[in-house]
Amino acid sequence: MSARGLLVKRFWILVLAFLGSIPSASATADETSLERLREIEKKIQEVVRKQMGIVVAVTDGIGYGSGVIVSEDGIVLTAGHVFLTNGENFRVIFPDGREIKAEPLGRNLNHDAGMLKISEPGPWPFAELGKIEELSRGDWCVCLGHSGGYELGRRPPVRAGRIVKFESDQIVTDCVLIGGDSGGPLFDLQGRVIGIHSSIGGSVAENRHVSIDIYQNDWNRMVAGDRWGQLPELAMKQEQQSRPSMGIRIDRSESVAKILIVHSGKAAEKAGIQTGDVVLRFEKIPVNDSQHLIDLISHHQPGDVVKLLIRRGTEELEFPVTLGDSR
Amino acid sequence: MNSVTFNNLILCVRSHCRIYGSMISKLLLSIAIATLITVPTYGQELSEEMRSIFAELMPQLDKDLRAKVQEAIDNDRVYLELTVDEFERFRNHPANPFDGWQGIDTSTIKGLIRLQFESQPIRSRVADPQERQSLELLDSLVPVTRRTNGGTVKVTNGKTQIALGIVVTNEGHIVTKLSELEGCDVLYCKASDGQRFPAELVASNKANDLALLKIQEGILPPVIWAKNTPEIGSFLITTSADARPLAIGVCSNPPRSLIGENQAFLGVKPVDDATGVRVLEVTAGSSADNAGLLAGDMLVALNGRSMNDVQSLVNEIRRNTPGDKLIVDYLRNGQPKQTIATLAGRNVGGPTADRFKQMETFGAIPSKRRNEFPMVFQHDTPLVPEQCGGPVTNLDGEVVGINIARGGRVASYAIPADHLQQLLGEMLRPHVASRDVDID
Repeated sequence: MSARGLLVKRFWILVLAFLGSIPSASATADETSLERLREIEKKIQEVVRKQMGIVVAVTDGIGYGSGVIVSEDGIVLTAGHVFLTNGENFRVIFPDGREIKAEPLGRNLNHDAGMLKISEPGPWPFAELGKIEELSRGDWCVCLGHSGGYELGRRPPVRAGRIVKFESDQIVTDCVLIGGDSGGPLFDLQGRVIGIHSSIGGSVAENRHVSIDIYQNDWNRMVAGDRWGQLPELAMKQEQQSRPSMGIRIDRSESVAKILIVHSGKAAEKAGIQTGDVVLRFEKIPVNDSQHLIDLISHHQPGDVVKLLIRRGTEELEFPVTLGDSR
Repeated sequence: MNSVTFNNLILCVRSHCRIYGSMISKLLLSIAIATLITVPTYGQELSEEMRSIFAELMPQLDKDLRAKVQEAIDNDRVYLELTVDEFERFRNHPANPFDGWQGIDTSTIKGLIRLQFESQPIRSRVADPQERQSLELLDSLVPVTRRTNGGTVKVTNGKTQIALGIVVTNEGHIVTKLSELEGCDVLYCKASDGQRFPAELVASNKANDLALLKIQEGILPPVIWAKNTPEIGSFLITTSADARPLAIGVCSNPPRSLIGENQAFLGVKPVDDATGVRVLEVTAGSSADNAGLLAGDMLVALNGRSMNDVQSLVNEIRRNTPGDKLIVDYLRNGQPKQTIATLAGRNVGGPTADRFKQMETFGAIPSKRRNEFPMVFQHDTPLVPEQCGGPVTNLDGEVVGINIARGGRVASYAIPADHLQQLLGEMLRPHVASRDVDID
C-alpha cells in the first residue's frame, strides 16, 4: 500500500471514531471509558464461568504445571518444559479435584510447546482456539492456571490484563504468572485460547505465552507424538558448557592481566600458574589487560594447548596450559 | 555481556525464567553465565526494593556475610564487596541465596570481588499505554475513585507513608494494617484535602493484622460498603486519598482461609530427649530427607539458635516460610555435623518452594506479614506494602474489602467487606465501653 493510501485509511478510522462518539456527546469521555470497562468486566466473567472447568493441572508425578482441554477427545495443550522433569505418571487434575490419567503426545521445545491426551475417551468440554491475526496490542485477555501447583479446594486464580507486545513465537502480556502456571491458557474475551503460559521476566508486565499459531502449525506432528527441538535456555547451557576455561579469576582493577584466584584442580593450576602471576603474552601475543586475555582465550577450544608467558616477581616464566572445559 | 568463562561463577544473570512448579527450573536457571561483564555502573544507591530483599535474605546468611549485607544497607549501597576468601566461602555455601538470582553482576576491583545487584524499578515503574495500569486507563476511573478517596487516608509516621487507611465511622475511626505500624512512635493520617491529623491506636486484631486508629479532631466521611462479595473476574480498584486510583486488578479467587497455606515443613518427627531434641523419624522425600538427616540424629541448633526442646524446634521452623533455608547443626553418633535444609510447603517440595519464593519477588515487593489470614479473597492488583491497609472497590466505588497484604507477584489479599465489618464491630466495642467508663 502506498503511503498516501495509508494516510487515507488512518484518516477514515479517525472519522469513524469521531462519528461513533457523537451519540454520547453529552456524557463525559470518562463515563464512556468506564462503560467500556464494564463491558470488558462482563466478558471476563463470562470467560471464567465458561472455561474454568477445563483448566487442568498437569503432572508427570514429579512436577506440576497447567494445561487446557482443546478437543472433544481430550487433547490438552501445555508448555514444552512441563515434560522435562522426566516423570512417567502423567495425570491431569481438574479444578474440582477429579484426577485422570493422561498420555504425553508431541512437543516442540524450540517454542516451548507441548501436548497431552486424556486417556479416557470423553467427550470432554473444550475451548476453541483463537486467531493471532485478529489480536492487537492493548487487547484485554484472561489468564488461568494452577499457580504454585494444584491446591485442593482452590480454583485456578483468575488474572486479567492486556497484550503488551507480540514476539515471533510469543505473546507478552501483563497477566501475571508464576511457577505452576506454565502450560495454562491465555484466553481472548471470547474465551478462545490464544496462548499458553511459558515464562516470566523481572517486571509484572513481562509474562510470556507461547503463541497459539505455534500449536496450529505443528498440530499434526504433535498429535502424532513427534518430539523435537530444544529450549533456548538449554541450548545456551550447552553452548556454555563447551567454552574454553582457564580456571582463573582476574583482577580487573589492575592495568595488566593479574591473576587473583587460581581455581583448584583446573587448567591453570595444573600448569603451575599461581595467584599474583601476571600474564604477559598469550601465544606470543602481548596481553594488554584482563579483557584482552578473556578475548584471546575465547578464540580457542577446550583441549587446546596454549603458551603463556608469565611474570612472577622478577622472573619471566613460560607455561603450556591445556585449556579446560567450563563444564 | 562478555561470554568468556573464567569458570565456576555460578551467580547468574538471566533474562527470564520458566514457570513450571518443579525442580526443572533449578536446572534451567542455574545457567551460569560467567560474568566478567563490561564495567557496571557504580554509585547507585540502594533502592527500596533491594533494601527489602536484603532484609529478607539476612536470616539465611552466616554471621560474616550478614555483616557484609548490613554494611551495604547501612551505607546505602547496591553492591557487596567480598574478599577472595569470603567470596569463595559464599559461593560454596550451600545456602547461597543468590544462586540463580536475577541480575547479579560480578566484577573484581582492587582485589575485592564486587557483587552488583540490579532490581527492576517497582515503585517508580511507569506502565506503557497498552498496559492495564496505563495512566490513561487509571484516569478513566477517577469518577469511581471520587466515591472513596474522601474516606481514604494515608497513614504516615511523620516522614513517609507506611500504609493506607479506611475511614469507618463519623467519629474519626480509621482501620489499617497493623503490622505496618510496627516501630512507629507517632502516627498521622493524611486526608484527601492534604490535612494531616495526629492519630492514636485504639484497638487491634493481630490474627487479621488490623489496627483501629482514631484521629483527635476533624471529621472525615466514612466509605460506602458494597453489599456483595466481588464475583470472580470482576474489576477491583485500589484507591488512595488522591484523585487517581493506584491500580486496577481483577478478583482471582473467592474468600478462603490462608491459615496453614504457607506453613513451612522440615519433615522430622522429633522427641524430647534428656540431652536435647532427637529425630524419631524422617519423612521420605521431605526437606529433612533431602538434607541427609536420619532417625537418631540429635538436633542441636537451627540457624545458629540452640534447640532445647521440641517446642523451640517448632517455633524456629514456624519463623520461616517454604523455600527458606535452615542451617541445621546436629550430632550423629556424638559427632557434630551441619547441613542445610530447604523448607518445603504444604504442596511443594523444598527445591520448588525455593524457586517459587524467588519468583514471588519478580516485579513485586511482598508485605512483611502476608499469610495466615483467617479470611481473604485474592486479587491480581500490583501493590507495594505501603499501599495496603486501604480500600479496594468495585466499579461503582463501593468498598468490597481492605487490602491486607501483597502476597507476591501474582497475588494481593483483601479481607472481604462483610467479614471486615464484623471484625470492626468487635474492635469498636471495647473502645466504646472504655469511653463509657470515663463518662461514669
